[in-house]
Amino acid sequence: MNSSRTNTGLSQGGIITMFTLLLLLLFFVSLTLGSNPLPLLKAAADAVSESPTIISLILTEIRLPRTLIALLAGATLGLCGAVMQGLLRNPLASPGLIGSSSGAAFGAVLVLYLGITDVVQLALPVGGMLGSLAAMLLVYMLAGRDASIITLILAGVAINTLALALVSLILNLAPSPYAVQEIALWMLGSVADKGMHDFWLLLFPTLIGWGLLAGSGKALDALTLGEDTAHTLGFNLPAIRWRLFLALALAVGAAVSITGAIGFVGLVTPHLIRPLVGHQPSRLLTTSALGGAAILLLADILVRLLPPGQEIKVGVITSLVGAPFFLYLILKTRRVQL
Amino acid sequence: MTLLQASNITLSIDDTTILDGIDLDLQAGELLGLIGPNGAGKSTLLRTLAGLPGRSTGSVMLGGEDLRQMEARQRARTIAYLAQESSVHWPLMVERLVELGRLPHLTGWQQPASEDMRVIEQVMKQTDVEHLRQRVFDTLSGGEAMRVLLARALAAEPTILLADEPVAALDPAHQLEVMGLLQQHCNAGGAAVVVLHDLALASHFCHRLQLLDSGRTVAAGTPANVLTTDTLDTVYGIRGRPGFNSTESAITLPWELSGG
Repeated sequence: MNSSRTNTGLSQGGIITMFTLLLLLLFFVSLTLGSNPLPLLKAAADAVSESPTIISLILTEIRLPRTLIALLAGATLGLCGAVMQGLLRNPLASPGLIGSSSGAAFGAVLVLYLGITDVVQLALPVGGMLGSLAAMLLVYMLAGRDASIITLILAGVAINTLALALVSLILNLAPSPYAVQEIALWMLGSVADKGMHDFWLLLFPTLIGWGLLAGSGKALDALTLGEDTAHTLGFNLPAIRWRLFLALALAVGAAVSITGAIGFVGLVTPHLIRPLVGHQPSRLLTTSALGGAAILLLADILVRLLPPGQEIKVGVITSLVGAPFFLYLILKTRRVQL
Repeated sequence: MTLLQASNITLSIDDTTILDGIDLDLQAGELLGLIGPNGAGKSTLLRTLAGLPGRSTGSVMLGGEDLRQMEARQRARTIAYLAQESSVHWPLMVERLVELGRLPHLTGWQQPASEDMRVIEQVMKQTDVEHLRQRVFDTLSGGEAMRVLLARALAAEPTILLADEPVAALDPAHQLEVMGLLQQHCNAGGAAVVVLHDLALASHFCHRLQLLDSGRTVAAGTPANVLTTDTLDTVYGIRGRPGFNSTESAITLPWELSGG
C-alpha cells in the first residue's frame, strides 16, 4: 500500500530485512576476525563437543560476548537516539543530552572507585542504571513536570556538567595511578575483554528498556505536531514521558556501565537512517536500532583491523567520526535558520 | 441539539484573572466565533474546551459526559483542535501528516487500514490538497499549509472542530477558502468554535458570536447583536458604524480609534 512506501521506494519491511542481513554478515565477520582469524565452523563444533579446544574457547569466551555486547549496546544507542530525537523534537538530541549517559558513567565510576565490583559483579550495571536514572530524575525535577523542550535541554546540560565534574572528582581522589588508569580506560568506551557474564548482565535491563520503548512510535509521531496537538489526539503525554525516561535510563544505563560511554552512535544513527525511511519518528525506531547495532559492530571490527600495538578503543573511533558529523549538523541547522 | 456546554469556566494564575466565569454552548450545525481583543482569554478558553491540561475550573460537558473524565482517545475522536501556531517539527510529506489525524482511531500496533485510507483520501479531496500529497509540509505556502492542517484535523472525523485563529496569517482569498471549509463542516452536521480577529469574516461566516473582554463574556448572539457601535467602542476602543448588508451578515470597514 501507498502508506508503507518510503522515500527510497523500498518498503519499510525491505529496509529492515536489508539491515538484518547486513547484521548477520557483520556478526559472522566479527566472530571470525581478531588478532588471529578463526575457523568458525571448527570452533563452533568444538564448542559443543565434550572437550573445548583453544579455538572454541576464543569463540565462546572472547569473540561471542564481544560481538553480542556490541550488537546490544549499538542497538540501544541507535534506538534511544531515535526516541530522544522524537520525544524532544530536536535533531541534536541523544542519550548524552539529557544526562543519561554521563549519569550512568558517574554511577559506574563510583562503583569502580569504591571497589564494589571486586565483590559483586552486578554492582557495575546496577550502578550505571541508578546513576542514569538519578541523572534523568534530577533533570526531570529541575525542568518540572510540564517542561518545555528548552528547559529540558538546559537542565540536561546542567546535570551533564555535574555528573562529569563528579567523575573528575573521583579520578582526582583515586587512591592509586592504577585505579585512575582503569577508570580512564573504561571511560573511553570499549566492547573488548568482556565475558558472557557481562552479556547476561546487559541483556535483561536492555530487554526491559526496549520493551518499555516498544509501541511508543505513535506517540512520537503525534508529537511531531507539537505537545498540545498530541494531547488532543488522545495521548497522555506526562505518562508517556515517564515511561520513556525510565526505559532510556534502564537501557542506556546498562549499556554504558558495561561498555563505557561510546559517544555519537545515538546521535548519528537516526540521521543516517532518515534518508532511507523518511522523517516520521515511528519509522525510525526499529531501523535505528538495527543501524546502531551495525555501526557499533562495524566500528569494533575496524578497531581490530588496525595494526597491532596500542589498542584503540571503539569509543575513540566513534567520537573521532561522530564529532565532525555533529559539527556538520549544527552548521546545517544554522543554514536552515538563516 | 447541544453538543458542547461549558459552564462557569474560571482560571486565575497568581492574582491575575484570565477567565472569569464563562458560559458557552455549541449547537449542532453551528459555527461559533470567539472574538475579543488580545489577552481577552479566547485562546485559553479554547484550550479548556479542547481538554488540554490546565488549571481552569468549571465544567465542560460533551454530549452529557464530563470532558475531563472522558477517555482521551474517545475525546480525540469527537473534538479536533487546531492550535494557533501549528508547527510541524519534522519535514513530513503531506499525506503522512494527514494520516496522523487518524491516530485516535488506531489502537496499539494497528496500522491505517482501508477504511482509514478512504477517510484520508476524502478529507484531502474536501480540502483540495490531493495534488500536494507528495510535497514536504515545510515547502507549502501559508494557505496550502492551513488546508493540510485542516485536513489532518478532519481526518479524525470529529463532530467538533476548535480552531485558534486559523486565518490570521492568510491572504483574503485563502481566508475565505478556509472559513468556507469550516462552514462546510458545520453544514454537514458538525460544529466549530473559531477564534477570529477579523470582525468582517466573523460576522460573515459565524452563526453566533461570543465577545470576550478581560476573561468575561461581554456580549453573545447574532453578529448584528454583538457588533454594535457601543460594544466596539467599549471593548475594542474603535469607532465606526458597523454596516450590515440586507442579509445582516457582512460588516463594512474601515474603523478609526475612539477618543480624540
